Amino acid sequence: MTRDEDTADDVVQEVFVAAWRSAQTFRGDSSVRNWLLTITRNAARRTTRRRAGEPAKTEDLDQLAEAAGWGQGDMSPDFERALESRELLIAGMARLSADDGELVTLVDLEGLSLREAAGVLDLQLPTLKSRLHRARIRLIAALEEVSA
Amino acid sequence: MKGERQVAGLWCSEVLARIYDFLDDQLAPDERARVEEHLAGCSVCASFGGKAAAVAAAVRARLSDPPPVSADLEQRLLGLTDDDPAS
Repeated sequence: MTRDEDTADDVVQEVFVAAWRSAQTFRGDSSVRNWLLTITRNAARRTTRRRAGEPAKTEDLDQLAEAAGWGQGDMSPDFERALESRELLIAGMARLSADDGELVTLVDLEGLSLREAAGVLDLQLPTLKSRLHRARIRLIAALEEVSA
Repeated sequence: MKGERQVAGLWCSEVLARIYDFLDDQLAPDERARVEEHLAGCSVCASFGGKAAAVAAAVRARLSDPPPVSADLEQRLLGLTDDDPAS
């Protein structure tokens, strides 16, 4: 979520404290995992400063797909190697915006269902699906770049 | 989208807009069947769909194991457990 190891360490510490202090008030309305993810997300938001003036990304879906290699046939050997490399996958994830990285992290990495992720992010399900769709395509484009 | 085709009544751009709904099993059966038919007849979309699925699987497989906790963070967390949580 933070894309930075030092920031992540600070977030872990903050989550640890928040969970420790609020465990008695956990009502069991959601799973412990989702409760911790919500705490983690809030901590990451507090700890990470958004890049000032970051423009909203409104690329056309077709443009995104072409940047991600739509129409170029099967995966290149370099791209296939990138999928085998933890370092290159992390490098690709690091190229995403904070919002895109958060979406991919919750669903594809943590394995939350779309409905669970929408709950953690306080989004309507269609909004989550639309944003996740673009985030995932941007990740493919980022991996094309880091694997080239 | 350059070079897109209409297969099974769907243009490639329409399949692209549904590709993750397809992979996440979020489509109604009739729509899923139409996308499947398009993918069977369109190598471009089939390749991209395979790539999209492979990336999601790779993220899950390669990144879901957390990195080792640094000694510094471990010490910070252990130090916190000495505090009274109610304070």
